[in-house]
Amino acid sequence: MTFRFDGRTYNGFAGDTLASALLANGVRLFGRSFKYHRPRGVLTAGSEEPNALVELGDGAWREPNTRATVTELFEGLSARSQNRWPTLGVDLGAVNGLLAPFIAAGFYYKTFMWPAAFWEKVYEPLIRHAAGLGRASEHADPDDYEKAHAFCDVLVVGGGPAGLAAALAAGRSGARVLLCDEDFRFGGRLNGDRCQIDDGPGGLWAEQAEAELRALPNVQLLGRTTVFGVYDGQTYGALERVTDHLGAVPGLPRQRLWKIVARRTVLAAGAIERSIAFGGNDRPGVMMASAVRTYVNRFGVAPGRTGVVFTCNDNGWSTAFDLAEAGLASPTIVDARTAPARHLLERAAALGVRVILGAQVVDTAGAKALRSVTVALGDGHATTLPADLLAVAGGWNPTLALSNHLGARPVWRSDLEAFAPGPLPPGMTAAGAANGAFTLAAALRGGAAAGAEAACACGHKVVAHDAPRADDEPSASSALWHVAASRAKAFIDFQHDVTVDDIVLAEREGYRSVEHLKRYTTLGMATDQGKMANVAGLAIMAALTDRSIPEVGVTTARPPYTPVAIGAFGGPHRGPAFRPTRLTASHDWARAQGAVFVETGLWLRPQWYARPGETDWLQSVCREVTAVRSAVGVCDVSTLGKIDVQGPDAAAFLDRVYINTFSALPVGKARYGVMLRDDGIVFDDGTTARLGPEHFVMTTTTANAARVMQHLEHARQVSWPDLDVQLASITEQWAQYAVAGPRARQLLEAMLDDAIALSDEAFPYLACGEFAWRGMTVRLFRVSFSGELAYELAVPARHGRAVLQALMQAGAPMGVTPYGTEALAVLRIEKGHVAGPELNGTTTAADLGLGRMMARKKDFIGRTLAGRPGLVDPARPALVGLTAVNPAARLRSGAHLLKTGEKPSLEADQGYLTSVAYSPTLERWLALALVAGGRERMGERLTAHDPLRGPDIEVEICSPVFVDPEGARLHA
Amino acid sequence: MRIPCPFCGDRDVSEFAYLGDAGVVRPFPDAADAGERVFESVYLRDNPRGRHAELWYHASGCRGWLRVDRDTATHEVASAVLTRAPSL
Amino acid sequence: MPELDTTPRSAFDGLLPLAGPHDGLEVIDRDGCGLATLVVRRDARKALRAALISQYGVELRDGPVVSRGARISLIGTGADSWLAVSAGPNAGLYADLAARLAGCASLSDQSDGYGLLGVRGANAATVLQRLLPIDLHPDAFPVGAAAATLAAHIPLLLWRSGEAEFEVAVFRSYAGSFIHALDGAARPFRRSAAPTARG
Repeated sequence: MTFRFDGRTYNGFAGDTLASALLANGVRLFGRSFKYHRPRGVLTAGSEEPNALVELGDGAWREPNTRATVTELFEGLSARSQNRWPTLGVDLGAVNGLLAPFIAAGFYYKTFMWPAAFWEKVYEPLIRHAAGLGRASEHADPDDYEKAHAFCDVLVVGGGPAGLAAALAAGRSGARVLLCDEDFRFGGRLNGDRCQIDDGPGGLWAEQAEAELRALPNVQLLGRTTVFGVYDGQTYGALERVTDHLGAVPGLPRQRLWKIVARRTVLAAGAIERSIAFGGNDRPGVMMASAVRTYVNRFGVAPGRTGVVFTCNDNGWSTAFDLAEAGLASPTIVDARTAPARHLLERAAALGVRVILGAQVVDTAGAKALRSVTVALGDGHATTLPADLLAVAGGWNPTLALSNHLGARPVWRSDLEAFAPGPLPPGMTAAGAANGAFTLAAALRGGAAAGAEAACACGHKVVAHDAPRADDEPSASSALWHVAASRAKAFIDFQHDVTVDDIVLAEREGYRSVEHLKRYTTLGMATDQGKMANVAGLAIMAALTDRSIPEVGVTTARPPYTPVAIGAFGGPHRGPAFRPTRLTASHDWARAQGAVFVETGLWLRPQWYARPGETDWLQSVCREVTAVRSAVGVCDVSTLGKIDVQGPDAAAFLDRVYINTFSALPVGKARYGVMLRDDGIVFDDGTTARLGPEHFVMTTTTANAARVMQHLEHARQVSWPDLDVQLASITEQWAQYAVAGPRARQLLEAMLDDAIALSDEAFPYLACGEFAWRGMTVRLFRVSFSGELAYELAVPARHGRAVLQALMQAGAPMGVTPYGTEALAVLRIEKGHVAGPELNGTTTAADLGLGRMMARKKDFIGRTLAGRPGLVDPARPALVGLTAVNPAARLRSGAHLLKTGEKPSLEADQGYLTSVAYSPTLERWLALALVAGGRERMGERLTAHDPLRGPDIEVEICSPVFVDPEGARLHA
Repeated sequence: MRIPCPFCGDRDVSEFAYLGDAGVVRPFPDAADAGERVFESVYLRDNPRGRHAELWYHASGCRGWLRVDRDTATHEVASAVLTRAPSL
Repeated sequence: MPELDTTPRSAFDGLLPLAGPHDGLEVIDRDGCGLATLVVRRDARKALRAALISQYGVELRDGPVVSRGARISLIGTGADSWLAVSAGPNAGLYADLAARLAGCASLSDQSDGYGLLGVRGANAATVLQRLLPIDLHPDAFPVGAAAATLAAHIPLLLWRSGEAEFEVAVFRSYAGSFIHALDGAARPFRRSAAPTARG
């Protein structure tokens, strides 16, 4: 298959990674480093890769900082190198390398402190251009992402020898097993190492194990899936790369985010080989020893022709043997140890591998690729070896991130000279290399045991199977973190260009704690989160401060283990599907009428109905208000919360949740009620109607419906569990329409025929009733938010649209007009009714002029604290009306009030405008306001001060009821 | 985090709403010190590290109010019971 | 007297069928079934059980399960609450229940409050599992199990009426959003998936 890198076309094979394909094509230089713009190649063959980061895709699909080592090749793949200008080969930013003495750790903190003005204009643009990794696409993410849930008995993280053995042991017992591996090929190190299991190649065993697992109905395998996070309650996050390796597949998402709940988890995430800090250890051609084996054995790629292996352990020797057996020019082993095991020496001799003992690599040379390595010999002399490949084997660190996500710390094992899992998250066990079992036989044994134990813990009977047979390969090791004799830059954190010298500097300047070290040097803060760097950095700090590594401690590992696109967390919840939308029964009708909608919580409500020719929202709203005041209007109020309160104690219950009394409310009547929070502040309001002796229907504000339900259930279940009262949300059952205006009765009479008598005597203000009409049960309430003669008609929701259309038809001769929430707001402001801006979590019933509703002879929620001195202070802000002295002046909600002539200050603040409307009825702007001691200040003139939107305006305090204060319209 | 709802079973925490200390008892309103006690129950809450009895509401499930015994440091839940016993 | 189109409008009008067909998945609008919330009164559980047996032949079970009868089933939704569902179309369920169970339960008509879907087929569980934060494995959610939970932030009631048969009740206002989410979860099983360009 063909692919492109930096504009050139190359060929690769299915099963290649971008890194292996580029290596096979002789490409050694992959990118430039973050700070010094040093040439960088491929260091690893896995997800820990810090160097070989590329930009993948074009345009909106461009994704920066993608690791070439885990990017599966596909036909047409297009990638570019990063952090270079103008080209990868000729990079002017490399001049930073010459400035290196000046941009050590803490450089930004020190240099750019002064002068401050230089920061914005000079330093920041300079740094932004010079430093950094890839470029974000700056377009909306064009891909689809999915979310999925999974549940299992045993989650196995990692499909290497331990993970496969664990999955087999658990799967054969019948347990529900989910096996996740980040690679596109199960097997882990069995794919990259030459090893034998059951007398056959390890890779073959892995294939057979995978086949057996795939055949088990109780086992699910997720390849290309990284378990990236551990969360409370045995919940795990995993990212499945569904089509990243295919390019474009119709109907399939790019990635799928799994939320997995597992009763038990086997952490078999393997280990990461560590580098050794020596001069020039970042040059293209320097590679981890295990990665060299993987490229040779798994991908059939020769990463070099002249190889040197620098090791401090037995494991590194196998790289030299593999290179020799693959027919690559005979490699040289440089072992820091003086006396490795005899059988290694014998095998080296047999393969013609040159061995230099007690020696260390101190430096490398080569411009854009490795040319030679300098070795300090045990006798104090140095020698230079020609080499285009240097394999580094610094030992192994178990991959522990997932074991620490809930806050536990790893423990230092001196026998391994590595951190191993400490206390594990609930339900988790570790196996294989992740548990410090670095040899194959131990990994298989440990995996099988962990899988069996996990299945057992989930209640499954484990049948003993023959364990796969393998030998424990030689694994003696002696830690070597740093080649002290090196003079050149020795990198610890390759991605953030943190060197040994930076750690020395941090120590010298007092940043010795692990958290300070991290922030001062940025060690471990790059996109790889220091997978290769952290432990090495700690080891060097330990040596500098004469402490042990565990005394230095570790920083906290947090999810995600590898980067996850924000789009994957969002999943399908983006754009219009960002959150669910709730639509009323007559939504389609309203849309056809030109309604403009407003979000109220999740609901969409008609805000106003724009008519042809209307150019401005205010024009539409004024027309709607005028229609209600002069004829009749209809408003969809279905979104108000409706709660059935039933049972013998329903009335007593309402008495306790409302400040006013409902037990005295006769059947067939409704009443306005106010609820307080425990602290005495108003919580919600609405009308509640009594349909029967033991049946009330409560309405709540749209925004608070769910919270009121929760509040009522708390009262019922926690505060007064003895009350015999039952609650049910019936919001969705009823479509409800306010019919308001002087012709409302006329309209309903035309509409309802003689199903109910509507004269003021028969159905007075606050009457309610349920009756049959045209084969359906409907409810009628004579309540009014607008101050007009008004009713609310509730019908079964499936008939809502048809009923609204019938209302329009019946009302046509009367000039019926649909009105939206804006007109509703104007009408209620004209009438001085409170709503959300006044029920704002700071106001008491008394503040809002509703203090007299508070019953004195009964207990209710909030009563005690509502009587606190601070809440009954007459100087508290109280609800008043305001008009501008100049009738043409426009008022603004949110404007603050000052005594005339006072300078604006917190101390001078007299209150503020909560709700503002232009009243077509009074032909001027009106406001409701909360003013200190306001009710005693009628007629006083104040200045409305709005520093954002307009000039100061002189206003006069008045009653909040602007229209029909006598209530003549209401009771018509 | 997951909470073992006594009615619904083990559920993700996103289905629940948190209220706070389950030990708070609503004082008798006519008691002489009712004001002080309500003030304490509303404002003066302990915030212990470790085991804590808390009220949670299964808002997106059975709508039950639960008394949950939870470790605030580890988020492990020892038990969860309905505050109101089911009607007999 | 105005004209009134009394054709009942399902919550899913204009939303079904899903863009398909799908392999092993069928989504059916079960509009018309009578639905009612039933909350037992204090100390009335015994009386309610007796009434349900004598009136409907249904043995009431506690817990998140379906109590199944020939005419009605009761879906356990809370410690003291159930959703009554008629076996077939029944506009009079609420009135019938209210008359027969008076005194031992509080009832609220929900026939219009919920949209009721049948989700059927060999892939029904897989599709629903994508959306649902509860375990639908037959061991964890067998035939007769019920749950109140959230899918794609949408509250719903779910019960399993057969190995490959689920019933889903969602509040009417969420019908469009729920169908959108279900359509997304069903996409991998759509037979005539329209190509979407990428890359």
